[in-house]
Amino acid sequence: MTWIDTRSRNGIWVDERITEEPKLEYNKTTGIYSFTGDVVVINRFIPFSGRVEGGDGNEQRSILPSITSYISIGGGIIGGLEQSYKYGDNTVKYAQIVNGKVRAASVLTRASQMNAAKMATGLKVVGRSVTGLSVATAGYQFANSNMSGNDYARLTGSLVITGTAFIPLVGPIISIGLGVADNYGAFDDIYNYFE
Amino acid sequence: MDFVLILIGLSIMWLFMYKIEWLFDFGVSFLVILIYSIILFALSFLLLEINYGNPNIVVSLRMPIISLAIFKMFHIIFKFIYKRNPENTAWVFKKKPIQDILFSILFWLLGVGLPFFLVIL
Repeated sequence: MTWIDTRSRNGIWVDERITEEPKLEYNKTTGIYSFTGDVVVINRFIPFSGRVEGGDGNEQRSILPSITSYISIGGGIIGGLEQSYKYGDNTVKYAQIVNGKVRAASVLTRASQMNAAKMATGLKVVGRSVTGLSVATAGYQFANSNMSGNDYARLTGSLVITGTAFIPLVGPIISIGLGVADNYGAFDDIYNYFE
Repeated sequence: MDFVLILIGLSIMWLFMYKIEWLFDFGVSFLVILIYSIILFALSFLLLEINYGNPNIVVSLRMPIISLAIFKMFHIIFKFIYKRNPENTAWVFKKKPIQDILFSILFWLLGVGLPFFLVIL
């Protein structure tokens, strides 16, 4: 089995590396099963050739998905240019090609962008309030605790978790995820270490 | 009431979240915030003197002056290096310069978090 790993180049996804799964082989002489190729082989993708160069620099193989990738990428670029011309700077076309297939392609129109902007503003106000209240609650619990090492660790953990919300784009999602995990006691072992 | 005191103690954090521009210059807004912080600082001593509420909560009124001092220190350094004011990057869904992100996170940890520990000590 072969996986094609994709990487983003200027917003367009292209096939860049190929990794091979380790294979289980049986040695008849020793009677032992062993993994071969357990070190992941990273092959370099040769741009515009539809071929990859093996880890040893010699092996070359054709990879069919790259050809379909080119078609998809080309289509995406043309479509993007067309939409940009039509709507100016307010329209963005995303073409994501993973394993040679278009996974998601969407056009944001002016109206949808304005709605998205309004939603983001509202979300920002609510999110910041929640972040502030979270740290206030953590501080309140800390002030009412017996100030053990565990309590110091919990307050610090809360500050770090809420602090991740300052990372643009993905930060709030990370913060929510870590906050929920913290509520379910996922980090209790770490906090108890400081007891 | 204890929770309200904590919320008041986090005044600078609320300004950082919603009205960060009030913290930037040394004008009227900054003067008002400075006086407000000093009053809260003095009030904490008064409330402790009259044994009002939980002492661990009352001392949170000392946090604004510490937070303000840390913010101004960071702001002066940031402005000296980048010749502009920093932005708060909390709950922002578009790309921001890394220096603004670092400023926000550093202020969050040292300007909001550290005073909790300092006032308790």
